[in-house]
Amino acid sequence: MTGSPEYRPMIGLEIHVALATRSKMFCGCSAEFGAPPNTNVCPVCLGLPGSLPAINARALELGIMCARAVGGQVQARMHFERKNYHYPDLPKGYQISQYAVPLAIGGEVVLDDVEDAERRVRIRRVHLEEDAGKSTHSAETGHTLLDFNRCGVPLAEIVTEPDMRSPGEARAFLEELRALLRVAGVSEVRMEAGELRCDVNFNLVRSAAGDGLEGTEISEVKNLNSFRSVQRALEYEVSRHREAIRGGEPLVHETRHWDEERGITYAARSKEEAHDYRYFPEPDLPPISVDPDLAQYLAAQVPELPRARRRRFRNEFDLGSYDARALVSEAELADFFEEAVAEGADPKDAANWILGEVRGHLNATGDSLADLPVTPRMLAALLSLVAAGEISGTMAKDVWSEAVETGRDPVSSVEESGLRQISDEETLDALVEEVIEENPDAAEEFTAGKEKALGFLVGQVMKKTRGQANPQLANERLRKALRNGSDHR
Amino acid sequence: MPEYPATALALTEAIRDGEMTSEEAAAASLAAIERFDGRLGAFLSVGDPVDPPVDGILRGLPYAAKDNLCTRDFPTTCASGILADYTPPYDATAIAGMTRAGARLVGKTNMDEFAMGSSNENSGIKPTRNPWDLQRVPGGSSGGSAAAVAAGLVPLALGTDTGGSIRQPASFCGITGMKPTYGSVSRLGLIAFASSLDQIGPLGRTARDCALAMDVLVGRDAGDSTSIEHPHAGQFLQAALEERESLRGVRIGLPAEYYAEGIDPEVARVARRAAKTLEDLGAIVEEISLPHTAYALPVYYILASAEASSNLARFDGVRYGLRAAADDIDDLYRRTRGEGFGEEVKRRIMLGTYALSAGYYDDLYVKAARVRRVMVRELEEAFKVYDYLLTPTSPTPAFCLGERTEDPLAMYMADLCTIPANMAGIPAISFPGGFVGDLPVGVQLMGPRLSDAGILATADLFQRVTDYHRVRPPLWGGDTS
Ligand SMILES: [Zn+2]
Repeated sequence: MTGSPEYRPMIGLEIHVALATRSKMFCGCSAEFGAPPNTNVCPVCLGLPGSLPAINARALELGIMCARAVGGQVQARMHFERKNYHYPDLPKGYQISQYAVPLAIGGEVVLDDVEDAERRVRIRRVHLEEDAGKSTHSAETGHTLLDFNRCGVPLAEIVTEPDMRSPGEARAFLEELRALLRVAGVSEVRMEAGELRCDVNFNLVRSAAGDGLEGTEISEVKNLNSFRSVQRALEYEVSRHREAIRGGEPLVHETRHWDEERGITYAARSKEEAHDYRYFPEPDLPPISVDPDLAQYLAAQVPELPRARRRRFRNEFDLGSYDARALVSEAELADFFEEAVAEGADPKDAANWILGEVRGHLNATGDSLADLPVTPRMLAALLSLVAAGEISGTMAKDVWSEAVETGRDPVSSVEESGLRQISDEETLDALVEEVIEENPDAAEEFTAGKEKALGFLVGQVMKKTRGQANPQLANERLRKALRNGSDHR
Repeated sequence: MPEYPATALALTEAIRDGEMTSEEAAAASLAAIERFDGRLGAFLSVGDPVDPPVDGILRGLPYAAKDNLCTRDFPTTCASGILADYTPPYDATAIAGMTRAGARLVGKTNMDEFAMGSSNENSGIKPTRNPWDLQRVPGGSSGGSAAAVAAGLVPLALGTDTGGSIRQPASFCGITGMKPTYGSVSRLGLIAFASSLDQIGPLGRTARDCALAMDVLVGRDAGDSTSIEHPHAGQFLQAALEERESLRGVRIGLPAEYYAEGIDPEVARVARRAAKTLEDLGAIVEEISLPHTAYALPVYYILASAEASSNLARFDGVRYGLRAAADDIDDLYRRTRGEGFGEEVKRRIMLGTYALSAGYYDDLYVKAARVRRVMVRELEEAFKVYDYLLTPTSPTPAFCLGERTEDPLAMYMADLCTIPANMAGIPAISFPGGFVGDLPVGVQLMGPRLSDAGILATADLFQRVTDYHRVRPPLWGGDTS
């Protein structure tokens, strides 16, 4: 007997990403996050009567780069449409978006290192639209407060095919997408600033007769603003749908919301779903023809994408996949790494240093690498001192910390403070001779087989050099001198 | 008080020559408004210009603007309850341009609410009357601007034209009104009715006055993405004033559909007589056929209403204008819009919403947009052979107040001849072509895109050999002494 095949999750995502423009999409207002409410507004983004949109060319350029980063085909001719609905934070009563002809069609994002297999998530389309404002409901006063600062900020909406097969895979996709968008310079993707928001489409499917699929009715969970919420909401939906199958309850195609605190999704009011957006071409904006030269130029501006870069870091620098992934996920770390290697640093030492010292500092302070006065050349020079045994790892950390604080070149710090280890054999041998002569008893004990006596003699060398002798080397030279000495005797 | 010259050109010359001061000009205009507008109802707000005039080609010229053009110094209401006390924080580009040229705004004019109508009876404030016969309408929707110019209260006014809203009232009031090529005049600050059709233009006593205003109004504005660089910007008056004796070699088509059933035969006769005048000036005049004209009205009412349903969505009581007392947000929308909008506006919002709705979009909006393109191509083909087309402006002379208010379709017919120019984005002018009884009748000259200067010059030539534009209506406030 052959049982029915197992149900598996089928997940598609719609991701809204705020593009990193200085000004809004259709007016000159600043797109900065966190300004006092309603300070970045003008007649256009407030939808005052008589106002008209004028497109920010940079938003279009970043949209094109975003589309290229996910492998989309940028359309030669596109237009905007109006998406009509009433909401207090939507001042025109419509959102300028794209519908029939989006910015780009197709593309894919490849996830490697996911459950030990390479997974491809196809991209259906990328389109541009403007963000809405923000409503805050005050339970205290019963008022709704509106802030239009976000209103008109340019967004790219990326729609995937339903190619993800587990909540973890959906999360891995989002992490990869975030890395892609950051590397492409399309968005800083600051989650706390709401720069990435996600809607998920979910159902359980299994193969059915023929080549078809059968499954539960689709749930759409709207407006998730962290990767964790996406994963948790999906995990909740997986068990909800499984239970429905087990219990034989029918599910309905519906929009749901995620309750972060209770960890559950709940159905939206049926009214919220009954939208007929009445899209039609935006008559205030003529259709846009994308100059092929511009599209090509912008595509060339998209740097090496994370997956290729990870692969190259593994092959070219012999890094492990953890290190490669960790470096590449932060483009500025990866760039710093490559420059340090180009300046002569050992790749593995550089990776360890950057993922340890540098990343640790950035995480602790919230600084960006660009804010720090250190350069890859400084790091390369410092690491070669360590590699040559000229300074100890602890010393290196000290002078690096100083460099991070003050911008002082760590190598000069070493030179000037005399921190450089005495690793010169001739210098050390002279000191070793002195110490042996001054401590004949200890020398005697050692040659008689008392290993412990050597520690005392090394300590004497260190004392003479105020700690600057390379202890390893002092040890070696002492052994050699004592052995030779005993031969002579 | 010195004589108040009837044309904008004469008035600006008088001021320039020191025969009159800009203060006297403004005072004369305001006095005429004060004295006559109680009967006419052309103005919604009136006020002394605050700032002294700037030195420019319109220095000291008092003018009026339709109340759908945003003005910082006057309320801008679209003659609607929903914007009853609304004063915008900025001037429309067209208004700012007039100010920079030295013109001074003395008032805002009445109109059909949100420019939806052909008689000014849809004004949410009050009707406007026709200075030729106070029982009759001035046309619409720029009826206040037309009546104010016709009655001599201002020498020049700005209007807007979405389906004939400058030309049809110009015809009813016996003046000259120009709808420029789409994109010539920035729409920034024009409260939109149908964005793909709306265009600002001048209403004056003569084609020259319209050309003078066009020199100020026309220009590319980065704030309006549909605005264009017009090759004749700043040269319209010069083109109109050029010494020309004849129209030799100019080919003018008379499309049969504009002279057929539905057009008052007396009106058609006026247009044919005007054609004969142009022929006498040397033009080659021929009858042609534009069969798709038949679809103009239904296509227009689908497309214009669809755009309007979206353009008017922002009037929701949340940020400005009327806010009705309400229990929750949906109630706020319902009551504010229910109380604030008049019947015709609601009718078009519903019509347009329907045309864009799922299940009807393809059959109504998409099909109408396709027919629009076919009509545009038909006109483009005609302009390969003919320089201009001459038609009546409106099927009838001014009708009586209340005559058509119960029958929206009869009202819509008033725009039959003017709609195609908006659909195609081409320039068109209406100028006085004669009389039917005691009422003035306008004729319309249309040309291909960017032929604005040629149209103005042709209309000017007509006005050099005719006197219809010099006849004054019984209610006349100019030349007061
Ligand atoms: Zn703005």
